[in-house]
Amino acid sequence: MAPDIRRGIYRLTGDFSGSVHMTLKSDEDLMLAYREGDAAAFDELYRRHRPRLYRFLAHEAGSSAIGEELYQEAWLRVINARARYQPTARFTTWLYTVAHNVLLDYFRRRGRLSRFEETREELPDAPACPRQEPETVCADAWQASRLRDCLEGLPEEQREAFLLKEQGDFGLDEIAAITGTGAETIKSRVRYAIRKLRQCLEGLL
Amino acid sequence: MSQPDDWHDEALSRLYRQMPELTPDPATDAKILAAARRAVGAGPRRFRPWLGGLATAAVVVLAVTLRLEATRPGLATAAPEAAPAAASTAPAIAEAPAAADAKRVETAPQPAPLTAAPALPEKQRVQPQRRYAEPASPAEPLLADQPPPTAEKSVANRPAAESADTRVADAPTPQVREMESDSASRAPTELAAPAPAPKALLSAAPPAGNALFSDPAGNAGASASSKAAASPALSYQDLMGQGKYAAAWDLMMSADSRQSSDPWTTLDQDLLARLTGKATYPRCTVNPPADEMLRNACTLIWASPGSEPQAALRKKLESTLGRDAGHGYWWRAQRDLP
Repeated sequence: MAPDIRRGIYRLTGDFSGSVHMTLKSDEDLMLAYREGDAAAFDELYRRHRPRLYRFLAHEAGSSAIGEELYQEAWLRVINARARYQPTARFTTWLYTVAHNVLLDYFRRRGRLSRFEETREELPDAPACPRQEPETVCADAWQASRLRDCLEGLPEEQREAFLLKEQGDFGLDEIAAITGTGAETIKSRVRYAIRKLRQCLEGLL
Repeated sequence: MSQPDDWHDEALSRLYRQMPELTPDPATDAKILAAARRAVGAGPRRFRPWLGGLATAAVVVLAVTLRLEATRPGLATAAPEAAPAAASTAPAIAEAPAAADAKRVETAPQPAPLTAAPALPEKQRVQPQRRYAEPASPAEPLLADQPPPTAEKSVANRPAAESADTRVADAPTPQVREMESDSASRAPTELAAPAPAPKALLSAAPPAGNALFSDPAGNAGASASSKAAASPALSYQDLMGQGKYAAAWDLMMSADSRQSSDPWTTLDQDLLARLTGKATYPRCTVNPPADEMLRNACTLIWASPGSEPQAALRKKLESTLGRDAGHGYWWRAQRDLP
C-alpha cells in the first residue's frame, strides 16, 4: 500500500468534520489543491497539522504567546508561498522547514531585541493534580512538567532536533533536510539532548 | 520508522507524550483560515501563458500613445516657446530693450499679478524677461558700482506702476534698462509671495533653529512640510524625548526618504503606541527584520484602520518607493491584517 494512501486511511480515524473525499487525500494533494484555489483543502491540511505544529513552536519558543505568534507567521508563510509549492518531498517536511525558518528569524530578533526576553511568558503548568486521582497520574504530570523545564534548558539546536524527532515524528534524513544540516550532526544533537535530559530528569526515569 | 537505539529513548518519548496538550487560540485559527480563504479568494494565481503577451502589447501601445501625445504640437507649452528663442539668440538680443520695455509697459501697471496672480501665468510672464536679461549679464558690475541702498530703496518704495513708467522714461542705457527690467520682473514675484511669513519665521526662530516646534502643542499651525523646511534642527529622537509625538509624526511623514537619516526607517513601536493609544502590535513584529517598512505599515494600518494616517502612509510609501512598489507594500500590509 502506498504511503500516501496509508496516511489517508489513518486520517479517516480522526475528525470527520471534513468530507471523506478530502480526508482521503494526502497532504501533498491537499496543498496542490489549495494552490489551485481550493480553500477547503487548506482547512483540512490545517486541521491535520494544527496541534503538532503549535506544540513544536510553543516548546521551541518557551512561551505560548510567542509560540502563537510564530505559529501564525508559519502558516501565513505557507499561504503566501503556495504558488511556489512543489511536492518534491513530504508536505510535513516542507511545513516544518517553513517553521524552522520562522524560528531562526525569531531567535535572531530575540538576540537583537532584549525586550523580547523580558516579555517572555512561561508555558502553562501541568494541570494541578486532583487529590482523588491515583498517585501515579500526579507523578506523570509532575514529570512532564519537569521535562518541559529541562527542554527549555537545552541549547536551541539540540532542543529543535529533539522536538522534531518526538513531535514531528521525523527520521534523521528529514530532520537534516528541515534544518539544513547533515544527518550525522542531527544524530549527535539528539544524542546530546537525550543525555542532558536524562541528567536533568535524574531519578525520575 | 526504524531508528537506531542510540538516538531513541523510549522513556523520554513516553514522558514527552504525557506533557499537557497545547492548542492555539481559536481566534488564531480563525485568522489563519480567513487569511487562507482571502488569499485564494482574491484570485487563484494560475499560470496564463497569454498574459505575458498581453502585457507586452499593452506596454507597447501605452508607450506609443505617450510618445504621440508628447510630440503633439497642441500640447507642448514651454518647450516650443523656449526653442525658437534659443535658436534665434541674436535677434532676441537686438530686440531686447524694446521687447522688455513693451512688456514692462504692458505688465507692470496691472495690479492683478501683485495680489492674486495665478502661479503659472506669472511664471510665463517672468521667464521671457529673464531670457532677455541674461545676455546682458555684464551690466551687473555697472549696477554693483551704483549705490545700491538708494537705488533699491527708490525702486522698492515706489508703486509698481509708477516705477515701471519712470523706468521707461528715465532709462539712459540699454544695460541699465536690462537690470531694471530684471528687478521689475522680480518685483511682482516678491510682492506676490507671502514675504512677511518667512521673515516672521526667521525672526521668531532661536539660533538653535527651534522655531519649528516652539508651539507647546507640538504641531499646531503650519503644515508639516513647511515646518520641517523652516527648522529641521530637532531630530526625531529629540522630539520623542521631549514628548512631542505629533511633531515627531509630522517630521517623519515630511522627511526625505532618500536620506539615510529619515526617521521613517527607524520608526519604532513606541511612537505608534503613544499616537494610537494601543500598547503593542505583536502581529506586526513577527515579519522579517529586513521588512522594517512593511512592519511599520502593518502597524499603522492595524492601529488606525480607515483613518487619516493611513492616507498619509500610503502617500509616503508611494513617494518613497515609487508608485508600484509603494502600492505593493500597502497591499501587503493590508493583506496581513488580522
